[in-house]
Amino acid sequence: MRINLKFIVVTGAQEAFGATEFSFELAGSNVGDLVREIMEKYGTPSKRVFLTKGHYEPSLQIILNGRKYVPPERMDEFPLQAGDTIIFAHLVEGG
Amino acid sequence: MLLPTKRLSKDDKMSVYRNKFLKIDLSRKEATDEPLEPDVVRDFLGGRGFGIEYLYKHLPPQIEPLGPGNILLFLPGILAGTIAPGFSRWIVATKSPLTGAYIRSVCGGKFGAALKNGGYDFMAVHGRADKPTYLYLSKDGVQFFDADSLWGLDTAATQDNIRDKYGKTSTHIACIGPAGERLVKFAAIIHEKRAAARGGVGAVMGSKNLKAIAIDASGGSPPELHNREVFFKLVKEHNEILKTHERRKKMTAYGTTFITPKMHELGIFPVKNFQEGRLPGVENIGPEAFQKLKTGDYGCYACTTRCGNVFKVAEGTYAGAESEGPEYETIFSFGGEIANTDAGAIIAADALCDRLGLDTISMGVAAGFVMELYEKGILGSGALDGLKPVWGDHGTLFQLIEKVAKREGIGNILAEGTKKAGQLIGNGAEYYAMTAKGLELPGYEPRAAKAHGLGYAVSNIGGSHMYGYARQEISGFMTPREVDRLADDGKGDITGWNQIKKAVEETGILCNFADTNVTQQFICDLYVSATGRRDLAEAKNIDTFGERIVCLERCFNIREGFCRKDDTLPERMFKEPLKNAGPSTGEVIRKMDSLLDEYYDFMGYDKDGIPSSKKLGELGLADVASDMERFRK
Repeated sequence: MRINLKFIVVTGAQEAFGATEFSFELAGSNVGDLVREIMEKYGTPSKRVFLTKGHYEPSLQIILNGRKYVPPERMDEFPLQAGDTIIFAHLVEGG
Repeated sequence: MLLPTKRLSKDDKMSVYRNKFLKIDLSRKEATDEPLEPDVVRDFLGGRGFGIEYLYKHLPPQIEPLGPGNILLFLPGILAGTIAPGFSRWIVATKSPLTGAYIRSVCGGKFGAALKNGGYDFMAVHGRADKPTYLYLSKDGVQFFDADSLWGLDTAATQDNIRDKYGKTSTHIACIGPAGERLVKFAAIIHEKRAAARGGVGAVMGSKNLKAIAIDASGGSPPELHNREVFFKLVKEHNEILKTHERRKKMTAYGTTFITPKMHELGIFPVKNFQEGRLPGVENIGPEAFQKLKTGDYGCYACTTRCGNVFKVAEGTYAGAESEGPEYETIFSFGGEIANTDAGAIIAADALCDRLGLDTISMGVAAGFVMELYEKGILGSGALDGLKPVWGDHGTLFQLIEKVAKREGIGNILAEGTKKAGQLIGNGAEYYAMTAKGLELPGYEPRAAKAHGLGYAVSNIGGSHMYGYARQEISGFMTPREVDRLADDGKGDITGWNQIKKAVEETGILCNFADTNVTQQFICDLYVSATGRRDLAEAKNIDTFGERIVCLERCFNIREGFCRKDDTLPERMFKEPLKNAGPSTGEVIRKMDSLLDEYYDFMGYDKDGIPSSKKLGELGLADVASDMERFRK
């Protein structure tokens, strides 16, 4: 199924994927599958986007359809449907 | 005239505190050291806590905010002047001329640390000088100087003049610009290029004929720490984490400019005076656009995040304009709010407001208000001094800023604040005033983040994003629990929780931009090692201080006549579904009454929003309970 991806001011995303907004054909069924498949397809540059010291970068937030924050440690629990949009963005607040 | 300060009569000292405050009486040109009572330190901790305790005790109800009876407080926090990164912010607290309510406005830079290192836990300014005056604090005491030669200067020239006289590196200045002198009700107090901006604190300073306060920090010393070894170890470990932390790195690189695309994507970024949530061309005012104009950075006292981005416009209409910032809020107010996508215009308008001494949030919302009134035909060009303010017209923005600061024409009406301007203009204009309790709303759409929106409504300072920032909705925090930002109810506890946590942080005073990886337990550990107070050891106990502060701020407002009807949002939020806002499209505030009930219930307030006697007793505010009784129905 096709999943829409957006990387908002994420270091290395443009270099790793050639774009910061694109769609991705997902073979698996949930957010965890998505992250793993992206890293598998795009290789080392994409791992630098998602991982710090071998673990998912905790400050890189995952937002499902602009509404639901997906805790990285529970990403396998969040199923995806065709047409869903996943935003990756760093923690921001204040102003 | 040199006026040595009087000696303290009490000597009940506690580490890190100075155990005294500086009382300035401008009417009498007197400066005195006053003891800080141990029970105040015990119950209110510091910073914002000292502020509301002082105002509630010393400011009689119904005082005219711009009269000599008002009190203007300058409050560093417990850890100001120490090496704890992000903890040297300072607060201005007073009764707001914009809202008639309590206000506290927070600022960065080095002024707070200078005041603390100069020997004071805070400064209280009373009275009114008979002519323009500035204060100079040094190891020799407090001096009152004639400010005739400074009156009329902008804030940059004012600071340059004072630094030329006393030295460039060790003199830290808080001052007002022409807007404060002319009592513009959203005038700011400016320190370097940073602002204590909200609620008209600059107008209060202007009403006192006080142009500037300069502190010579060269003779000062950092506060004594109870356990220096532990304190330094905590700070060192924290700084090590910050070195590689992604959020810290992003804040250093981009400042708060990188909030814009995320808020826009989520439909939280207000556009066209809170009518919409999408701005075509928003990428032109996004973080990458500003990065191209970045020329340097700036850090506040002891801060390792250094999020202050310095930008300079390279070409075009505003070539040469330079500003520290703009922060996200100013990108909203001079960008989305007026549908402007020219980053250069935002930088130039930010710089102009800093020089004139204006709150950029209130100024931008006032400009968006005028543009909507023009669009709706409520205000014509004739009533606008010939201006034709259409969406995106940043040229008109600059004319409005100048007119407000000079109180000319339409600017004289807007200078009263957007809510009052709506009343003065009439013909339904008030509906388009985007304020809560008269304070212009910041850059988070209430309909798209409803605990955050409820926070605007019940905030004791009015429409502020920083009185109880809903991190759960804006940033995805899962504590104390997960929150669906678009859900219509179940928000009262979150709003209250956030207000309490923020009040705790503002005893410090911790910066929201530099709080990466800071937990409440970390704050407690710093407080204990700094003060020696064992009652601050456990995170769960320290909330009581925050709750006490928020509660007393509410009691202050109730004494001024505020009640449930004032805990509300602009009518637009209830009547108009949010347009063109991506995942937030169609949202509206549907259950305001039940949201208020939830919040009051969580906070221990009655149905009118008045803290119950039981709650006041629990918080050690039993003496306030009798004040509140006469307001209960």
